[in-house]
Amino acid sequence: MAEQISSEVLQNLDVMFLIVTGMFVFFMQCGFAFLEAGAVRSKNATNILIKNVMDSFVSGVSYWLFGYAFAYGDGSSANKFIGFKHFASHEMESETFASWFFQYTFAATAATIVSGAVAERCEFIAYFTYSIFITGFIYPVVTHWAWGGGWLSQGMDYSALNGTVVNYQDFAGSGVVHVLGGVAALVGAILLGPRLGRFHKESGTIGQLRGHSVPIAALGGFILFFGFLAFNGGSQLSITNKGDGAAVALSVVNTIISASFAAFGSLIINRLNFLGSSWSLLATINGALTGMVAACAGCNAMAPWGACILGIISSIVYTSVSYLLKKLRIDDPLDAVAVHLGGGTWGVIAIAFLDKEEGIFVAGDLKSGYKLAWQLIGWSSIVGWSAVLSLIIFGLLKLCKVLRVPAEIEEKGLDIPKHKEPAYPVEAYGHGHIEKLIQILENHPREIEFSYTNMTFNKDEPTNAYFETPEVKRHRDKMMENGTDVTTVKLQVTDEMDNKQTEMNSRM
Amino acid sequence: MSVQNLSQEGLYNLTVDLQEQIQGLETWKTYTNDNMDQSFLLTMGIIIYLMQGGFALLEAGSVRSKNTTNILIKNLLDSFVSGIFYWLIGYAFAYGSGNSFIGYDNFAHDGLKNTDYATWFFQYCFAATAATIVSGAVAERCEFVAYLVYSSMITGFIYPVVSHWAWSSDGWLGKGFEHTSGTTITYRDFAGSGAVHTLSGVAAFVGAAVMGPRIGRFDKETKRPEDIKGHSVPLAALGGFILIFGFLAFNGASQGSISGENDGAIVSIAIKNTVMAGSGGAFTTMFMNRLKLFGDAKWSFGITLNGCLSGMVSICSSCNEVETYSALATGIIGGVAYMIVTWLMLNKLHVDDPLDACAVHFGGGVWGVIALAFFSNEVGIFYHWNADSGLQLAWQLVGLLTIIVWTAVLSFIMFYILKKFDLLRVPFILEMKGLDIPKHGEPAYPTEAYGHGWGERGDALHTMVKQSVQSSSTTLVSADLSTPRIQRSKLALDSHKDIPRHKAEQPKFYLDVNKEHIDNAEKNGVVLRQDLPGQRSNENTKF
Repeated sequence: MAEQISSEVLQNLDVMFLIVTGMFVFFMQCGFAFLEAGAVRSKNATNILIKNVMDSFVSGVSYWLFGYAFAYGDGSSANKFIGFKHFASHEMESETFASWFFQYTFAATAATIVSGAVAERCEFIAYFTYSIFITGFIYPVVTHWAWGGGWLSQGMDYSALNGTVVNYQDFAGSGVVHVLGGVAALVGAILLGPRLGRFHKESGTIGQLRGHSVPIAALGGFILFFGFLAFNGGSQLSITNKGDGAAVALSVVNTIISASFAAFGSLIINRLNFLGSSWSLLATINGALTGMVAACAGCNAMAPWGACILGIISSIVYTSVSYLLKKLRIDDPLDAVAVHLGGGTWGVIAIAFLDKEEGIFVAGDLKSGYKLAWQLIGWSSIVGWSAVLSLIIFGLLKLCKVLRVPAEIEEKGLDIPKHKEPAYPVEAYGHGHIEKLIQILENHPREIEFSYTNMTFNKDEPTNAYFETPEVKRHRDKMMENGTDVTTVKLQVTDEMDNKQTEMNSRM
Repeated sequence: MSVQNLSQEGLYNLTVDLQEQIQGLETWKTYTNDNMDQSFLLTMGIIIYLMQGGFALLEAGSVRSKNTTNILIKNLLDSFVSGIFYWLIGYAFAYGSGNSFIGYDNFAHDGLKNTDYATWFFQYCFAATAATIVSGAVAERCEFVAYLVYSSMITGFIYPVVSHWAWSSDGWLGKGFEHTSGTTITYRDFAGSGAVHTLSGVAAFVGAAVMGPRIGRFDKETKRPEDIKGHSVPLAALGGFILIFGFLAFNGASQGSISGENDGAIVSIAIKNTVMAGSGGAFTTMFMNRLKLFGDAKWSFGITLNGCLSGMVSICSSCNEVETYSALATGIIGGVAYMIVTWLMLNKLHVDDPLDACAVHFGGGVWGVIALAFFSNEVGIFYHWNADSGLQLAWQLVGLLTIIVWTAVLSFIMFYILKKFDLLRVPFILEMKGLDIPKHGEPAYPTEAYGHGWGERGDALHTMVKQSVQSSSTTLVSADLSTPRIQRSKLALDSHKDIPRHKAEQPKFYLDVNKEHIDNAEKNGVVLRQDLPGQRSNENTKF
């Protein structure tokens, strides 16, 4: 009887654990949003934010309708390749909703990785299509293989090992989530092509298109670290079996140790003048994230010394993949490919070496060799699957010409034409004198005299587009008609209230 | 089947059966309790980990935009420096078995039990917090190498030893001494008013004092403090909110377990008291600052936030054992302590602490350790007027003094050596121009990343004004240049040869809109605009 009572309590505890850690993982959406928003230019900030907001809700819809059924529906028609039950949570038992929620947050994470790599130039429709496909089909099928009783998790028993089963091991999804997201991101970035001004074809130089706000990116980084601890810890999926608590603790500890060493590694690599020569913040954040991504696969099965090695190599993987992408002229604004594909790949392979009981470095027997083989099989099938499918999706979108925004919009920014919400509207800022002038200009246009002398306009090369308020445009057009040839602008503003003159001299 | 009808054999079998069942239940209970405790520590630890982000944004918002990346990377690395050093040595010094002064076991998790990893993670989050507090006080002028040295020292040695004294089972402060009446007097510090906050407050003070104030913080002759404002209130506010969120977990989870009898109740008491103390501190400082006598007669956001934090810091030590009204009182006095320390530092000691880290953590922390001896339900002087409570106060003071002396001496040695090797403070020119670009190559707000191509209200003028401001480093609000304040700033500007000034023949920019604005400008004395981002190298402009 005691067991009956306790089983209900235990179920509640498990559900609570999944919900709490799932909510932490859900907060990672916010982390990705801010990391990406800070890393793009201000003219595209709203665009990237709305994509990240929609990621969690697009996956809410498509993971509910199909995703979960493909991944964990173990109905009669389910097989090693795909599940086929519980579409739209039909006939789902009430206690599995917690696990639905937890898995849903993972699916949303997989989708959101891509938006970083295609930032600043991807059409909104294209974004919708790929994120529906990733959360509804590509990702769920792979989870079925690795976690839902599919062929990767079943593995194979080998006579050479007296019938021991060897299977693909991926605790929190280095392969399933991050390699998959990273591959989709890579395919998307290649098919979209680089942003305008990123690579200069003739001279071969790389333009550094800086993000507009480091603090916002750092906020995103901190939230991601916070979420990652729950991402890896919560992957234990239960807290009531013997040893669960210790396993969760080990995962969290390994995650943080791996991240620490990866952060230091990339900090120092960047300082040592291989790629940069400064104490770079963004490289440190990305390095730490790579360490955490790599820890996903084996954080429950490694000793902390393993996490230390894992982290150090992660930083090397991150910097070299990032360098390689630049060499290949692939533009990835967020380094999503380096972090997720690089870190994920290394994590999937590393666990075959660093496992504290069965790893090649520890046991070094035949079984550990088979293990490595299975990790590689798992990795290559995930890469193949997601590469082919995302190639089809992005390719179709490209053929239909809905993949990339027109050049004019890309140059001038997506926020205003697409969303009509500039991230930092000029008129909403300031509290001083400059803004007063602007107000006067807006409210009393007739009381203002413009006097232009010496202004140059070249018909082939349009003037700086900033100078495009209606008043300025009108005057400019007038002068173009008259054919005046000039070099400086002198703008005089008369304020009748005080009868004083404001004179602004500006050199263009 | 009733017991009477059983044969002796049957009875025996039943007993064995029952014993087995009981044993099974016992094991079940043990590991379920373990699981509950560990998952509690982990979830709470993860929330405390987010406090790193809170500190980072609070500090980033409170410095000038030219040093934002610098302060962010310091806060980011805090958690990772502690990850390495707390793993390698810190935890061993703090909780490894050893003598009453220091532990020496479990270096780099060697021989650590499976079930202790959760504790390690939780304690690690505390160590990272202790290290991160210092970076606020030395912001905007500390060398990066100095930062790496002090944060590894604090998380690897200074803090672990103190936490060994106060919290490990062997520590001399925690063990206390036996009074003749038979009661044992121990140092009580539930969530670390002393062990975490006083410690880092002292380290912050020593660091700031050895380093000296930022350029322009105190008038050279009169020593009058001049305001140096941070660049973004919303960022600081976001950081503050995250800190408050984290503080609830910081204090609540210090219970360390959730499966014992009454654990849930104690955690709730701790969280409730934290909220009350925070409210008390916030209100006190807000109203004190509104009064001309104590503050600048404004409803200040920054001071209210700091007051709230110092209230929460001061309740750390006693949040599990005081009544709600005592928590409120502790918070109120914590707020007063904050105001006093700030005033002392600015007007008497002339130590520049950009974040008021010392006032919040040292002021609040010291008061918190003492407050326990008065307000505690179990041992407080207000509730138990006897020798025991007096001795408790004495022992709290002993703990406080040893923590202060230990930290002050060690951090003074550390910062002084760094200063002697000229590694402590950045060169004058870097401090004037900002650390982000020369040190990190990542300006927080790169000019070229702003703006868009769609003409918008005000764009044209804004850009013209920006350009003309960029072309000369000074913006003079003209009108009567004879007011003393403007004269002073002008003199200061002329005498500083290191301030980047463009050629004198370039036009200065005069704005002269109406009387109201001139008055405002005079009042604010906003004359020198050194923070406006200058023209950067034209590496990107070619495309």
